[in-house]
Amino acid sequence: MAKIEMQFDGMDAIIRQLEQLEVDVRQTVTGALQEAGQLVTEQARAAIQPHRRTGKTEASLIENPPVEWTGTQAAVNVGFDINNGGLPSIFLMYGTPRMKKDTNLYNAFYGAQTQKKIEQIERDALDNAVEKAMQGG
Amino acid sequence: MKQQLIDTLSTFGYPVMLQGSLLPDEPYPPAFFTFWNNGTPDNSHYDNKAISYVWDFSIYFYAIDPELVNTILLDVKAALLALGWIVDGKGYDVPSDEKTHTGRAINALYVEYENTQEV
Repeated sequence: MAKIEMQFDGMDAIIRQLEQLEVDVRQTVTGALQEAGQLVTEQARAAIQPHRRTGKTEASLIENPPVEWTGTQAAVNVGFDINNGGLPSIFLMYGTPRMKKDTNLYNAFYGAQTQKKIEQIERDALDNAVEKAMQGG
Repeated sequence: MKQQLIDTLSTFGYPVMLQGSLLPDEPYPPAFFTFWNNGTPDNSHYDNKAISYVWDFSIYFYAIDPELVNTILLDVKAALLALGWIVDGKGYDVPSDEKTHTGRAINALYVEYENTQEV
């Protein structure tokens, strides 16, 4: 599984602004991480399709992963449940010296484009919350 | 950048190969590196043209000696940082085909600008 957290340059300043505007930061962050988690899950579902044999690995993909809070830190764990049929995904994602890695599957979680998309989702969620609060919504 | 990565890994004295390139019946060397380019996406644009790219590599090390597996990628990280690469964290465990070997990996990025020559 891969962990997605809320993290980008300038985030702390926006969070402070949201707190000053008395916006429910926890709810905003939770929503953003849910959306980011959904993006990665959809990408992983598409990337695992070419490897379909029994469908067990695909079935182990965790749907609607929950956002978990530890104090002020939030994270969502996305990916395949390795205890329930998802173990092959590890071999596919990283490869081995005798097996090429599946770049599409790897990039569904860790690729630069995926990381950019996640950051954009997070940034947009906070910016939209600020804008909405400033408009009195 | 790929050649610079291979050259840097080679200085450690272990074989360097592409991940997945070992034949099914080919034995693992006692200790060795593998690598994989995860992609080289555009990093920034100017006037509708890409002006920089991110070379994204996974670097793996497999060995019989688990202590070596745990430490060598940190030395690799130091060597790459000195060359201007971006290497985040201390790596992660990866699966091995052989019970005799353990493996670990680290990710390394290099931002290449359009007006710089690839080495």
